[in-house]
Amino acid sequence: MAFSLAASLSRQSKFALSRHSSRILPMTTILQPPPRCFSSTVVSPSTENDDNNNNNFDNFYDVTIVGGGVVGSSLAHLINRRMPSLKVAVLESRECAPSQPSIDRVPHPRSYALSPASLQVLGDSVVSRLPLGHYDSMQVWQAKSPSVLTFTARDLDADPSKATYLGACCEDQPIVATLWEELMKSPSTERITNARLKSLQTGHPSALAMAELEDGTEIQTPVMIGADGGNSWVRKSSGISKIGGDYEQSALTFTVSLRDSMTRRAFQRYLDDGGPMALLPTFSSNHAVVVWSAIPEVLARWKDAPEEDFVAYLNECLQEGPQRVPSLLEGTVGNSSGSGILTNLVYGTERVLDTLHYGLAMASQHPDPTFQVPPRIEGVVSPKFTFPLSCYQSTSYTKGRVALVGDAAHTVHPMAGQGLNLGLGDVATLVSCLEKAHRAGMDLSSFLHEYDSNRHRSVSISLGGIHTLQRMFRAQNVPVQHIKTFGMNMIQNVGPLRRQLAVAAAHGIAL
Amino acid sequence: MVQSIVSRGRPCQRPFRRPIVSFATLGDNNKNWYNNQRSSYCRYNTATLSSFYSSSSFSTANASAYSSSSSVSPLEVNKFSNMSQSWWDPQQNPLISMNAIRMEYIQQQMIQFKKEQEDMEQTNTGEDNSNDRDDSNTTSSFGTVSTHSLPLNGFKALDVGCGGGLLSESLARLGAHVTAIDPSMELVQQAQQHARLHPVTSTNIMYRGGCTVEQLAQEAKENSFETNEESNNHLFDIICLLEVIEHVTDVESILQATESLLKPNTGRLFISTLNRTVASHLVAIVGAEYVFRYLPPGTHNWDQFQSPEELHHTMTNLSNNNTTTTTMLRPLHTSGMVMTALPPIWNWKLDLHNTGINWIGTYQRTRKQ
Repeated sequence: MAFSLAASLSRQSKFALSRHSSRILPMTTILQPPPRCFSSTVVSPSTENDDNNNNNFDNFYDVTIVGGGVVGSSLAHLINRRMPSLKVAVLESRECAPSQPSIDRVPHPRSYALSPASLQVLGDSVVSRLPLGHYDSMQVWQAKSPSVLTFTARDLDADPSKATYLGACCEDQPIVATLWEELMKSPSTERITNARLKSLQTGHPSALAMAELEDGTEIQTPVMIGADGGNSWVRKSSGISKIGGDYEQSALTFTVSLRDSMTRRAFQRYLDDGGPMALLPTFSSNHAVVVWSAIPEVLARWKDAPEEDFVAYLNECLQEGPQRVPSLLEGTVGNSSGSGILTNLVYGTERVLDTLHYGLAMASQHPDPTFQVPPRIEGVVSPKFTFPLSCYQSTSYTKGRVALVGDAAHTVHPMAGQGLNLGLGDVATLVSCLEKAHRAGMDLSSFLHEYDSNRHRSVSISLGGIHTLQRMFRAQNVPVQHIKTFGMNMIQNVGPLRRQLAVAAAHGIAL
Repeated sequence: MVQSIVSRGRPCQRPFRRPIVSFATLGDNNKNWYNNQRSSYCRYNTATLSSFYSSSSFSTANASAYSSSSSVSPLEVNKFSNMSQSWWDPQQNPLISMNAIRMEYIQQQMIQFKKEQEDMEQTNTGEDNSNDRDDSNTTSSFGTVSTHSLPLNGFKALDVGCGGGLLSESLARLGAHVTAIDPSMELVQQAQQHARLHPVTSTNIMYRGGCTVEQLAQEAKENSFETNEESNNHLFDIICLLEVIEHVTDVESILQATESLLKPNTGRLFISTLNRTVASHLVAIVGAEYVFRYLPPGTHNWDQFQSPEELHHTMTNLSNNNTTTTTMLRPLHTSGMVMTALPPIWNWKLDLHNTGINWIGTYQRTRKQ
């Protein structure tokens, strides 16, 4: 797994992460027969066409979206809101639309952390119907380090009336179900469930993109969007390659019940073995979702462990506050016989560093500097899901008339909770490029290259940043621990730096 | 509301246009100019020229009309025919990004015009006699203009020098019925092929290759004689001469022809070209053609650029010299078009006060004072 950060920033060499908690069902090719509602058409074929023009526009859609997961359906929904006259098809491999889960359920562990910008992409009509777990602040701390980092909603906007929350957590199923319900209301959007794709032509400026379904239907479209997840069929069929690699970590996610109720704060602690463990709010204040990344052996050991032991371990991990950086000399302090000068030198340096760390923490101008102990976990109340973590990015986000969004274009480590936020950022950029063409009455694919270059650049920076953080937190030796502590203290205490990071996480990186 | 903001542009170093040169001499001049400029232009040799004229789809009648009265330079036609392969590639044709801003301008003007028209209709309870376009669904379409659905609904538009059909398709998708002409057969064939990619453009555009606007004006005149009609049905609501007049040999002839095809008072003529300033030379020729190579070298000839004032002057001269017509072209509005970002992402915006490089104007056909 060799990444280079410098390379990640350049346009030619990219990497990306695969599959955060949001895996959309891969569009496999298990074919079930008849496709739905292909008969209704936009425009009847022209009567004045030349002989060599066999174009009938029976299966013509202005935009065709492959994949009806969160990213795909929010793209369809946004197009619908901004350009209602466009005819959109959403191809989905599922048999039927997902249904709304029952109200008195235990929150599902397949959840996302949504930034304010992402909620805007989803739209008020959808967001108002979602069961959200808002949080106003996020507390990040690590084992064997005294520093605590707290992002608050006030970092996003100095005006407290505007900055009401830092983010919100929501499960996958209600988002998709609500989006599909909204799409159902629109006459110009066609959702084709149970669609199995056989072949794909990416098209070029003088030829439409074409998708052939297994039942022989040929869909013609000026713009084809691949929103079919980390294992994207559209990306592979278009011949777009990806760069990146797998982490040696996997993630384990499950829902827990709490003894105390969750305040409006999300927690993330980097454990001894480097993997972050996050405790995220849900719509129910007595439940939280744990996302824990660690090496697969550790996860396997705990997955089948007795529940009491597991809960005890979780509480131990999360309840522990800031700690001192251990000394290099921990083992040797006892026998003072050792080489005096070197020992004293190291010991002295460590004391100076300690003083620096505490001094910085005490000089803090942070509005909310106190460490909050997370609520105590009572029990695990859902099945545990494991998924591998990787970092991939497509070398290009577009080819011909095909554009990739979300996991199809890039996958990321879940530790910063940015997977879906990056995907919805793609959606916003892509729709503004389509809109630019649509307003001018031009071919909708006219400005796809702008989507590619804009989005590729800012996603590369996000991925590079997240990847670097991930590498940093995995390193465990004492000098690195001091550097991390110093860095976290600086971010915590230098307001503008902290605000920059919070804004970048909440609104994406603007270039 | 009539605005005369034409004089807003930066004054040109040479305020008056050069003397009018007849087609034949200027054509030759041009040829020499190119040959002198770049030896590579030798490839526009007689062979291609003759093949252009004897192209099978060219009827003899057309060819004679073409050669007798036309402002088209065969060299220019060839130049653009050679570009036909890259016409629709957004990264190779800067006109694609520019088209977004041109269309924004045209829509702005037409929406404003519709508003004025409706205000007038409300004040005058009488019959609307000047506006004979299909009004049955204008009001309903106007109600949805804010959502950008078909702002040009019901208009009859003419795209002169349509090239690959960039502008024609835009006009058609926004609701207009488009006639698109270009002297190059090759480009028009390309355009026709591309228009088949969309249900609207495949039905709402009538392409005519190898056709000049003078020819079209002549036909229209003959037709109206034959049918002996007084109506304006054959005339256009919108005529676009975008990025055309810097490539023609006789601007007066093309203006005269377009004027005769434009609906009096209600029709709108849009002209865009480059201003003849030091800035335009540096940006459009030195920068775009020789340094960055966004355009093939030789695409533009700086001497053929014009300022808005010069064009206005030409129009005034034209109406003074021509006693047979009772109408003249009058400028209504001018705006600059400014590039705000360099490739790979081209970005343009409209800027009323900066007409120094690219500019676009709206003109109206009115009765002579």
